Amino acid sequence: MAAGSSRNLNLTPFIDLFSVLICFLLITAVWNQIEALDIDMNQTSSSLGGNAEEGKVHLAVNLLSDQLVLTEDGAVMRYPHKNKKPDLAALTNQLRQWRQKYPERHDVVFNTDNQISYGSMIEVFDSLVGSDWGEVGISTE
Amino acid sequence: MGEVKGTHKRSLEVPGYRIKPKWDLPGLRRRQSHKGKNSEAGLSLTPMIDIFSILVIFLLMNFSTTGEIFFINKNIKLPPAKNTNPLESRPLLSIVGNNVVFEMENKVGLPTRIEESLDQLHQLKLSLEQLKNRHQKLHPNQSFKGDINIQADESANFGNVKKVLRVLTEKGWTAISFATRK
Repeated sequence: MAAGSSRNLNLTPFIDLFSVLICFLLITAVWNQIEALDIDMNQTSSSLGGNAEEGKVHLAVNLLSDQLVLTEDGAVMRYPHKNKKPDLAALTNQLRQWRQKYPERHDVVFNTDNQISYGSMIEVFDSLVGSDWGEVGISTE
Repeated sequence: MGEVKGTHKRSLEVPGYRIKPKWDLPGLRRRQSHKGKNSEAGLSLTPMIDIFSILVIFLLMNFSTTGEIFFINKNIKLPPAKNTNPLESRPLLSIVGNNVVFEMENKVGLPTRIEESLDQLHQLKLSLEQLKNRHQKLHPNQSFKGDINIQADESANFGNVKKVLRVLTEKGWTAISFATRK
């Protein structure tokens, strides 16, 4: 038998199988992975409405067109946008500090300007969820 | 007797067994080289099988058993997000420009589509109420969760999204999922 001959392995059905498998997988491939950011508007109503507990510190993130304003009851922290985008590093840093201060809290109110883009809102929302502040109440006013 | 080649004066030799001729004639050389060559144009299967294997492995890794839950509107580019949950199959509300497109199933289970301007959301309110009533009739012992998916372009004005959120909250649809791309 000459060296390199493939008498023992018949490649034709192998190639057939691969071709069919590739066609099937190409047709059924999902190219865009779509996922979701969930919000419970009941949570929003209770945070914004009159159900707020007495003595509970009101934490809010306000996304304006030129800055992010974080409020902790009376205290106000302003972070101007960088390159017309919200300063997510400063936001994450502040949220980390809130986490150390309020380890049992996960709720925060998120207010936005009406002119803000949907993409910016999602960016900030994503940062809130990623920093373990998952109970986000979005204001619809 | 020495070896003599070519057209030189040569002595007579007894022809015997030869693997290759001693005379280096160009025509003979050509014939000999063609004899050794395989004249069939062979297809090299090794790289082809390599490519096929890599393609199959890549596509298998990419395979999703859930498939597409809904089709993204061609005018919408979803915003990216990292801390997300898997999307579930629910009624879909799309905000395209200044219009709202609501896709749901009608009474007989066929997909229906409603499109109207953001300034007047009457049809949307009606559809949301109908869907909610239908759910409550079909599942009287279950509380209505009001699950709905929203998709909008990343450059869309959030004020428009707020209008829709107000209507949804008013009609009891409170478990909202914003569609994003990973």
